[in-house]
Amino acid sequence: MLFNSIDFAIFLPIIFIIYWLFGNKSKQAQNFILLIASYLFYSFWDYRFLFLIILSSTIDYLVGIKISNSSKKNEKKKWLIISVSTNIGLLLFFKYYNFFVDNFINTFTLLGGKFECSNLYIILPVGISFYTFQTISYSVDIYRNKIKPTKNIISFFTYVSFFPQLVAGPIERATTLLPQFYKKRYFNYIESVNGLKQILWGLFKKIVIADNCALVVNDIFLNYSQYSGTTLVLGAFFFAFQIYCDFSGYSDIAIGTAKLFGLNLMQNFSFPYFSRDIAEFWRRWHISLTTWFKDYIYIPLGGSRVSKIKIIRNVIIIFILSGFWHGANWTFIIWGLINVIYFLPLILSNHNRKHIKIIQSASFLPSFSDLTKIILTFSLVTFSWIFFRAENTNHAFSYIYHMFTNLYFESPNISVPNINILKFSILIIFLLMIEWLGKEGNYALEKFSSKWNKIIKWCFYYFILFLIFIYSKNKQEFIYFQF
Amino acid sequence: MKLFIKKILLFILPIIIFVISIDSYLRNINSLYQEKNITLKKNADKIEVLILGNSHANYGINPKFFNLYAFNTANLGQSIYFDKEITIRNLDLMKKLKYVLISLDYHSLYFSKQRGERNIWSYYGNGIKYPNENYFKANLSPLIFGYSPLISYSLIKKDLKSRWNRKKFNNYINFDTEAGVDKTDTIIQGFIGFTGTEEKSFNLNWYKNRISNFNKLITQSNEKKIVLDEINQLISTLKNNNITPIFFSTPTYKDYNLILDKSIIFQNDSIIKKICKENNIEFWDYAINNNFKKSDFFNPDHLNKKGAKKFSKLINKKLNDYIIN
Repeated sequence: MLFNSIDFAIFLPIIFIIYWLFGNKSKQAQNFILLIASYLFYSFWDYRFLFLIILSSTIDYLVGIKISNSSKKNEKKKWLIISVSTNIGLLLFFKYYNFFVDNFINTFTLLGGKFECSNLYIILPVGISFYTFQTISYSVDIYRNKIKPTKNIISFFTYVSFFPQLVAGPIERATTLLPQFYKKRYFNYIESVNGLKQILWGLFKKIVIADNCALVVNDIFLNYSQYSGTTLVLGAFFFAFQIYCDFSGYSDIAIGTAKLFGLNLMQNFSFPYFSRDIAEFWRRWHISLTTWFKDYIYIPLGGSRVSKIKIIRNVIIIFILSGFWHGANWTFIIWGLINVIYFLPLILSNHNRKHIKIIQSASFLPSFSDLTKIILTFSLVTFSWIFFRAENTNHAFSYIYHMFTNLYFESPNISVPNINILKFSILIIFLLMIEWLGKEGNYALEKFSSKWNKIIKWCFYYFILFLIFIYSKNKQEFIYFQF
Repeated sequence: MKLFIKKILLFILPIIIFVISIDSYLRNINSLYQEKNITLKKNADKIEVLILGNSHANYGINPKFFNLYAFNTANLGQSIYFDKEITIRNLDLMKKLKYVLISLDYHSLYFSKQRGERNIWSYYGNGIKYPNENYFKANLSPLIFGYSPLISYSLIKKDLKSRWNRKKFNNYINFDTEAGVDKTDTIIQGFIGFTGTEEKSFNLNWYKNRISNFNKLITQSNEKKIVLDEINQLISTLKNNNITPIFFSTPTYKDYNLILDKSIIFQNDSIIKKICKENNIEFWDYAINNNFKKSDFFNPDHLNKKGAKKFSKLINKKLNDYIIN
């Protein structure tokens, strides 16, 4: 079930009413309703893969208790290895099996050997990259004595499968989300209104910007050899907005939906395209994954408090893993390596924490210096996205080759049905304007319209709804569902 | 909680009122499908020649230039399935019907289900359903599910403009047409044509884009067998009613023809000839015809009113000769 579907528009109010009407008696009832709703939500995609979620949840629930009950460190470690290897095993099999087989055969053939092994037709279960990371963090946190294992099986299963963030995050930590299931939730009017506003903004980003960008991007990336260099630059530019609005839009809808049920999810995007350097970008982009890698891999490896050589090693490991997490394709690994090249100079010169706060929170417009930095960072990020979007490495390199060889300074010429590029560019400017004005909040609309008169505020929401309505024709799946 | 629900309902209420109002407006909006459907029924007892096909036939044949009373029921993107259904549904009414001219062009044999939302659009106009297509949502709300919001917006905008213009011009048409059609023209016997020539479409890029779209449709199509079955059903129904089916193709511009895929032309030709042979049917192929100049076309694959007049006279003569012989 997609967040941007009529099915979800029916599903959500029904669950909301059941939850607050019948679940109001106890936290157990609330959790149980959410658990059933979450499994139902997942079943709309493919009920057969529910067993994977249940398997992963069961193993980590039991392992959590075992780790806590073990007195010896070795025994704790043994249980932790069981949890991590089961989850990583599921991920490796479903997501990377064919990739490894193909590359193994290719390497073997390159060395002159002959090796035959057939690929399997494996469907990638939606959300597997997200919920496995979530359950791993639970076991690791128990191992590190950061949390106590839960004995409440319903709470734990709900934590793993909570439907707003089940299929594409944010990747929640047990330390923050699980305790919320231990308490009964009470309806909070302000938080619920806040949630609806965030859902509205998420839908705008997804339906109006991302889905329509997708039409242009798909056409340009498919027929790149026929387009001029300027059009290819525009294609990369549109993809930068597509992926941002697709994924952050999803996160906004997920966080907003959770608020309707009295639960808080972590912020996943914090206006990343206003970043002044790559380090800041990575603190603002897919925050739940970045911090996951930082806490569970980068810091255990020594982080940046080790020798320069080890810092380089750690950064390379993190970005390659991050790239690999996104998919079984060399394009993602190259994308990770490009980010290593961007990021290393900053960390080695201790400039990686130069921009911690959001830009110019007090002033209306950025300074010239900040604007230059923003544009430069955005350009670097956009360039790396070409690898993220390309079908394979050849496609990416060929796209870049054509981008520079076909640069005849002619105006971009795209003919995609139902898309008026000029009108659409105005919508992107509208998005940037709202995001800029609302950048002090957790999402653009949170504080942006808070001081407005009620009628103007409602008119503005109706306007956003109108745009969503008008542009709802080109419905696309969320990009991050494939990860 | 009560306050929240109350405010939500208050917020949603104008939206519901808006959707209901727009839906009822859209349900009453006229279209080329509806216009042709109504006039066909009105004149059914006079019709001797019926013209079927997609936009090429819709803009290419002006029944006014036929000696026999003809009616052009071809429509934009109309597939053979809909041609067949329109004919069968109105067969009892068309008591004088003798000849049915079926347009078969470069891509006609490859689509049964019309592209985009056209199945639903034509359903709103003539009530014909495509098999296994769910019309429940389209009936529920043309705004949300049928036309989709963006198309609805454009339809309403055009309709309001047309209403405004009808106050100024008596003969301003009351249905949506493509750009290039003079809105003060009158639809006669199902025909309303393009005016003039769209210069910008006469260039290599345009030809390539257009043909590449057709080629994509043709190569990706899995409906060829269905279309052939539909053609056979149409032929046998007509023959059972002593009506003569005749295939024809409309002219396309000479430079445009050079870009067409020769293998597809050959394939189409052999399929059509085979059907003709099996059923003893004529095929009047004018697709490649150098008598038609640029000034006869609106764009490279659609004739304008001038070209339609020329082509209709040609077909009329051919039909007359065929009748005599």
